[in-house]
Amino acid sequence: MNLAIKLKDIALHFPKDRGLFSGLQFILKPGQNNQKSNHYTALKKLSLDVNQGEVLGIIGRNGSGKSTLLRIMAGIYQPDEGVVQVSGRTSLLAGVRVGLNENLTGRENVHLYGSILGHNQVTIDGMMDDIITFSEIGEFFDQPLRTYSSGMRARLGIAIASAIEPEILLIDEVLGVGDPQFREKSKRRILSLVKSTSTVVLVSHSFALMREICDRVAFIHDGEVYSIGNPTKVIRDYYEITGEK
Amino acid sequence: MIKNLVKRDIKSRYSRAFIGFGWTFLEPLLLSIVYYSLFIIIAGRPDKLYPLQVLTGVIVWGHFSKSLQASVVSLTKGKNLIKQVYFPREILAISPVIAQFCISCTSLLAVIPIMYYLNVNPEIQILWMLPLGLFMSTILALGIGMLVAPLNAIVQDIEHLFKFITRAGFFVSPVMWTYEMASTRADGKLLDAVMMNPMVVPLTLVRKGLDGSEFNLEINHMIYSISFSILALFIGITIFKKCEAKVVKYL
Repeated sequence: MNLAIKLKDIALHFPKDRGLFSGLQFILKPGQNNQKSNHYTALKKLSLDVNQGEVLGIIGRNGSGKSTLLRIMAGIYQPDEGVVQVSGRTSLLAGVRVGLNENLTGRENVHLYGSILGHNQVTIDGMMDDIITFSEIGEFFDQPLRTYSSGMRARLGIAIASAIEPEILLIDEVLGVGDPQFREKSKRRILSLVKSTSTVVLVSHSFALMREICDRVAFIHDGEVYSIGNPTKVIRDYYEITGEK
Repeated sequence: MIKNLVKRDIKSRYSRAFIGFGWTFLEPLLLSIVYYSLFIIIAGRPDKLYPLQVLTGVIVWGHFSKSLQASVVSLTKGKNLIKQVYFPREILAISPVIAQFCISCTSLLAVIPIMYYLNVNPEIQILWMLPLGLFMSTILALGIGMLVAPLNAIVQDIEHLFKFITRAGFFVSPVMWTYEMASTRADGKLLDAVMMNPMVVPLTLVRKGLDGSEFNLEINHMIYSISFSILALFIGITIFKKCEAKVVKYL
């Protein structure tokens, strides 16, 4: 089986202390400042393989490192220890209005965001119609973003983020914005995106969704993979550890 | 991508203002009037060319200080983007400087009516002095900015420190005064100290390019400033590339 993502013994510590001195020390000689006292360990010795073509769900309590893990896969964070191997273009769907600029119109924002994601002009223009239809913003599309309601911003964000077609899709709990109709629609959109993309890593608290679409589920606890495998079984583990039903 | 980010920077800067892009001319013109009056009050009657010199000084210094500040805060300002998607982050430092460069070039058009009024004609030397001066101040600002941007991501004191530095730097750079004034003070003994500031040469170059006056900078000062700028850019890029991935966790 080919691996899409291979994580081996990943450790990542967040700095607690933001002093000038420790900051300088951090830049000058990294690796030597792993005194546990001023670091918060988000992930410790975590190993995880994602197979090509599978839909992998990730569950865990708040703050257990799920989002951090996705960011490592997307190349945003560099782990302090361990090896990351990703074969294919990744795209992270998380938070819906980041990267959008208040003073630009919807259309200009699409161009800006598209180019940040590394698309060329032609591809972006190709996605434009799709984004206009999906976001249902209508005439506001050529108005500056500051005139949008918060729901419209969220819809534009989802429309842009889901219009791209990466090889590896990373989703971090993006559902739950907009009115119920739009929520249903974006859920369908993401489901079809999940189906058309070969490899998907999905972070969610919606266990029903997980059982429905995931091939495997990993349960992250205390910065490690506690269990991985059959969705129903792993979700049972989750409740055993966290102690609620 | 750089093109789109530059467009964003320029557009969003003036988009909510009524006069909008006109501020690129108005701001340096108004500042120059203030400095000009100040000079008359403190030092008496200035040279005939002084209005042109102070306007050029204001524009070039403004270019340097705004580029510097934009690149210093590039990582902290772009943190939402950085945490969302992976891309080469030096783009964040470079694109506001390019945007500022475009704006400063437009600002420079404001000298044309003043030159016409003072009846100044540029000599052929404008062809190399003006671009070289602008280029030097740009890479100097970008270099220093990229050098400290990762540090600013960890402790934002850097940002405040550089606000102070650009304000103090205004007085030790020839914005209100000129190279000629410095070289005649105290029989030129202070000149070497003044020339330690790498911004003196670029500012003077742009001025001389525009007013066509005699090129009287010493060659060792030229070499010092040019190598300082190039070195700053080189070191800045190296440090930035080395550190940016590590400081993302601090954002």
